Amino acid sequence: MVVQLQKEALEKIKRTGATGLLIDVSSLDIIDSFVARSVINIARAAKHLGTATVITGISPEIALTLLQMGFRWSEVETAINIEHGFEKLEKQKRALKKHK
Amino acid sequence: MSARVDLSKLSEKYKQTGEDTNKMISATEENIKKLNEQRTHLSRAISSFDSVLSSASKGDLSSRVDLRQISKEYKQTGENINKMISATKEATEDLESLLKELSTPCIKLWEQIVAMPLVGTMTSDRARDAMETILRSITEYDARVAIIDITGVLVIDTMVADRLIKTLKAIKILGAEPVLTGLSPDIASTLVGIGIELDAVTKPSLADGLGYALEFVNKEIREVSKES
Repeated sequence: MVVQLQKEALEKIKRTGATGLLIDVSSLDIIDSFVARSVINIARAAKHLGTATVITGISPEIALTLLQMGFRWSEVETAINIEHGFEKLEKQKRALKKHK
Repeated sequence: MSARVDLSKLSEKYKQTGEDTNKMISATEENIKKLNEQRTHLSRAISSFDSVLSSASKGDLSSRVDLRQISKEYKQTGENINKMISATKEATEDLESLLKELSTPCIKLWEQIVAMPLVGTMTSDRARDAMETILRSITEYDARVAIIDITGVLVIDTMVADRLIKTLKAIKILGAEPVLTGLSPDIASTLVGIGIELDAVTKPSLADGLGYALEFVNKEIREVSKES
């Protein structure tokens, strides 16, 4: 399912020319290393496509799981809720534009 | 006391006396037997009470008097001891949970800002509770900034320092900004000595931390002139 999500999300970015991608995981109770890795990969791939990416709604439980997995989570932007996520998206978009 | 007067060898005249003597010896024997039995019961009960009470006095409140092994007359005492230990255990547990609640309070300091002041001796258990509490509060209040104030903590060991770093990292994973305030010189040296990179903002006092946090959520503290 997560593989399909990755494919669909990236294709949709390509098709619509979206400049921002927001992945909300607030309805996930638990997460395994494969899903975590895949979500990070989606975010990374979207960045390569020139799209700002933010992951929102991480629960304390998931945060602890991710911490234990020892991922380098810092390469992906995270936000508390969707509103906060949009703010961070805007900030990233501005930074990306400057880069170009 | 197995010796008895041989009645067959006595003449009729002394038979009655002999019989009485035998009866008296038998009765005495019976009494001694009863007393011995009672003594065993008593010592069994006392040793049972003693082992339970001594382990309770050492802080282990899990052992109980085994009422099946105690004779009837001491059962009530045994039951009372069990009740007393149970009540003590309950009271201790209540206090422990209260202490746990009180020791890691997390408060909403402002819109989108939560703070957790830590006071006293930090154990790794307390550090773990603190971590859970602050992460939960961040998601509950949708906080953008989380301040951990350790002004009231005098020393920390490596385990607690490690937990603290993990907590700051977890706050970052949630998407909030961690701020560590009130580091004492000792703790600052400890952290540097361990050689961990503190990838969080640190401020000398809680007030500075609040100033930074307000700035982070686009607010500022301003002096206003009052017309007198």
